[in-house]
Amino acid sequence: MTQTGLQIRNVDHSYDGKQVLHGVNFEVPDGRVVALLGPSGCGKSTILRAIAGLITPDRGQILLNGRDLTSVPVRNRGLGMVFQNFALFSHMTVAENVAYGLAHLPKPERRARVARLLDLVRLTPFASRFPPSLSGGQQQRVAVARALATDPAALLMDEPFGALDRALRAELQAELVRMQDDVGITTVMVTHDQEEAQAVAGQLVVMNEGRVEQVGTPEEIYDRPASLFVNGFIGHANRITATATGPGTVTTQEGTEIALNRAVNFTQGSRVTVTSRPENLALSATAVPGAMEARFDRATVMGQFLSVDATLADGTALKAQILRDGAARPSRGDAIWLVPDASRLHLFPAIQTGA
Amino acid sequence: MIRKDTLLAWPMIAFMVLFFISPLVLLAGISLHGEDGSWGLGNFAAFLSDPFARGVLTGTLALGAKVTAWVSLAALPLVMLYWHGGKRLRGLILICTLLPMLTANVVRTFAWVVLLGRNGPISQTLLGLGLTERPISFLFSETGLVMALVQIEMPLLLLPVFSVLNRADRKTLEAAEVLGAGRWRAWFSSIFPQIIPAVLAGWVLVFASATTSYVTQSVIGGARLIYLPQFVYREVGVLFQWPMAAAISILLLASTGVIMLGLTMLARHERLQGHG
Repeated sequence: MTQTGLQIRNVDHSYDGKQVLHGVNFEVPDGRVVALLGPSGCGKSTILRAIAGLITPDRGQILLNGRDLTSVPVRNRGLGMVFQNFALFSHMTVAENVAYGLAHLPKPERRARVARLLDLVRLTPFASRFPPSLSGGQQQRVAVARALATDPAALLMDEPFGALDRALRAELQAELVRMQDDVGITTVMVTHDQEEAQAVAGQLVVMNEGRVEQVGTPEEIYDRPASLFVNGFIGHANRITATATGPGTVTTQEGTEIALNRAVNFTQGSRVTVTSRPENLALSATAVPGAMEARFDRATVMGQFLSVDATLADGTALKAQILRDGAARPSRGDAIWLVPDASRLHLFPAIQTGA
Repeated sequence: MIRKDTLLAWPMIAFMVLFFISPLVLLAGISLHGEDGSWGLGNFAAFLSDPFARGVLTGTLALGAKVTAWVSLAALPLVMLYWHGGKRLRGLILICTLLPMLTANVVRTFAWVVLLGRNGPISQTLLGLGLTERPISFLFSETGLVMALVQIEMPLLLLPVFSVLNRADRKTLEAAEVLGAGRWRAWFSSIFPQIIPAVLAGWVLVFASATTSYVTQSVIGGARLIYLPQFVYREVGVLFQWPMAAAISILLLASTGVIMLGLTMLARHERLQGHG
């Protein structure tokens, strides 16, 4: 049975002797949107360029609907690509840009296809305008129409919203999701913005330093991070240095014993990093079992929430997010107790460099 | 009313009016001065009705066109090499382009006298290859003059093109390739449109300096080949016909000016507005 969708298998790549991709593996199911997410320089753009054929990876396979693309030249891959700054041909009209990949079609068919795509991205009135006279959002839509015109087997997008301002971004992301529902094309999007990835993609591939850290839905990645990096990259993670002191207990550096409601796979006595989301830390004015004593620094109002900054005696800075209603407001320097939700703590082997 | 933000420009404007605009107006005035003391377009009519003078005018414009065409042809491989070259090769090409510009025009012209002469390397090479039986001199021929001018004026075309290539957007090239375009179509629809304004600017410079290069024209062309600058000099220095010389100067200015205006307007075309 031939597999559908896009498969990336064990792709390695180096630039000038420096390895930038280490055995990258992931899949994009047919018709789905996957976002490659990671800090700049993590290799996410390199993998996208490898899929497009703009670079040839040192090792590994790229399969599209069961066909190995590795030795297929760029121009024969039949893919659509949207570039970060759109890379439109500014000496051509919007319609000519969209028609660029359709040179092989007879004229009436080409014209019909261009008209249909301009309608899809709602740019029909701008068909004879030149790209420099359009707004950023309109240029982005031209780029999308041009990429979709050739009826590509997959759509690749490199930071497609990166060049737009914040308000416009949300609007165009919603538009892209709507269009994706209509067209249903296998899509890989590269972004460094986790909100954007979560808004557009059903599946995230989190990358760091040329490696895939985790593949999963936004919920899976937020709730069950596979590594300390993923935990800290998607949302905020408080890091507490501790030691495993029993099958279900850890003791923080300062001696607070936290009972976890599950058994953990750490040898007793090994150093661990315990992480907690800000919303999983509760505030208490008095010492309760499993609470960490801290010094209150500051509270910031964020809508209905209160974001509390506090510091443990060993200098670890923690963030807690609590509902604002009825919350006590200690003053700076007061002693408070932070009560972690033990069922939502994550444990990782201690990082080598002291936090 | 003098605006505050243009205040700093006034010394320059005053300088230009005094030393460029007013002499030009004066020149135009003199050109209208007839031999018999009358005022009118008599000098222009006399020049344009003289077949020899007309030949000099068209010959000068033809020289400019020939040099511009050959410079473009000779520059193309260098432009391609520069585009595909790495940092080091680009630096080398740039230095080789700039280096001749650091020597005076007179020096470069005399270097070409040596190169083009009967015992020069060009003649010797042709002789050695058996392409000619007797040594040939390219001096005092238009072929030699065009050769020298092509080398002398080439940086004027190369430099603006190189500067555009340095910041050319490679992403459009990649976009064209992903859309299925072949190598040449991709290059011509992405990089080429970006360099057109620079090419037009380079053509204006090459054409203008080739048609007016008095030193090179007279040293290499000699007394047998007459172009408008020497014609003007003859009227001024030999025949003392200042009004006629002024009229010829105005004609030279107008004819090169029209061509430059045409090229500049082409560069303003809507399709080229995104670049440049």
